[in-house]
Amino acid sequence: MQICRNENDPELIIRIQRGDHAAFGVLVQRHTDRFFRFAWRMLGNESDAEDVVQDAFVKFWENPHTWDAGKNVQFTTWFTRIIHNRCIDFLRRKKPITGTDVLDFRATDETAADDTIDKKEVQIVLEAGIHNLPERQKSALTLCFYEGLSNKEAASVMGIGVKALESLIMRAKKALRIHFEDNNLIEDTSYDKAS
Amino acid sequence: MTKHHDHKVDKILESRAHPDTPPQLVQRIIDRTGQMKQQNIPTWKAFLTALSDEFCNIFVLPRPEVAIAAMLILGVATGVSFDFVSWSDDYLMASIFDELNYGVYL
Repeated sequence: MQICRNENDPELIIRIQRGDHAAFGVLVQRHTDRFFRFAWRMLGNESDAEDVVQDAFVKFWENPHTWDAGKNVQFTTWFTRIIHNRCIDFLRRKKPITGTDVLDFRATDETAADDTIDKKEVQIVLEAGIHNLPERQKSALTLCFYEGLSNKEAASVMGIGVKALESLIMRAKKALRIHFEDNNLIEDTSYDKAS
Repeated sequence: MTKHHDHKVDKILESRAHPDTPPQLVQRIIDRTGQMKQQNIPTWKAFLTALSDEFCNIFVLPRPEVAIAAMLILGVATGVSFDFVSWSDDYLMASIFDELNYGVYL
């Protein structure tokens, strides 16, 4: 069976639905990076992200007819929804994160006490902030900010309205701002106002 | 993107790093699914599909549907030909027997 790597996703999926494993290989090679990044951003853990992406692709291979070309939904948007739902299930099953799982930057910040926060420290604060966001806020932020989905697409992936999505993003950014201020990544505006 | 921009927060969010995709992940998915059978596809359908794909490749036909139609036409034509041959054979044999019988009677 001949496989053309230039075939678009719907063409490949039609082949996959006929049991063409080579076409499935092309689809996996094409999109694994993107879905791995998304899963990692949702879970914050490399090995969990690998498991989620692998399981999602395996399930898709077993039941390729679950994607319906007639519904006019892009494969990537449809599969992002699957990965998203799997990540949410994964996060709910997992034990709650304890204080020791996320590095507490505030403690080291006191000893550093200067403005020279290097990139690694910024990453630690950032990851902790995103990690501690409520599940829906994290999803909304990841889909819109990192995956570049439009508000409509992201809302569709999460199964909510666009207004609700915008509200989630606004609250996520508000929470992150407070977290960044607490960790001296940005100026504490409330302190400025008080003084 | 949402219209709620907070440039300072956005700038920090943009700096978020992510790990590279593990190089073995793609191969692991392909290897694992390689041995697995798909559901929802009857064996006869998979066989017919494989056959039509091969037919497409051999006769440079654009689509599997065309291949299936061509195979059906060929099949029917072959069947009709066989029937005709067998019918004509039967007719021939019957004629020969008739001749023989006629000869016996004589």
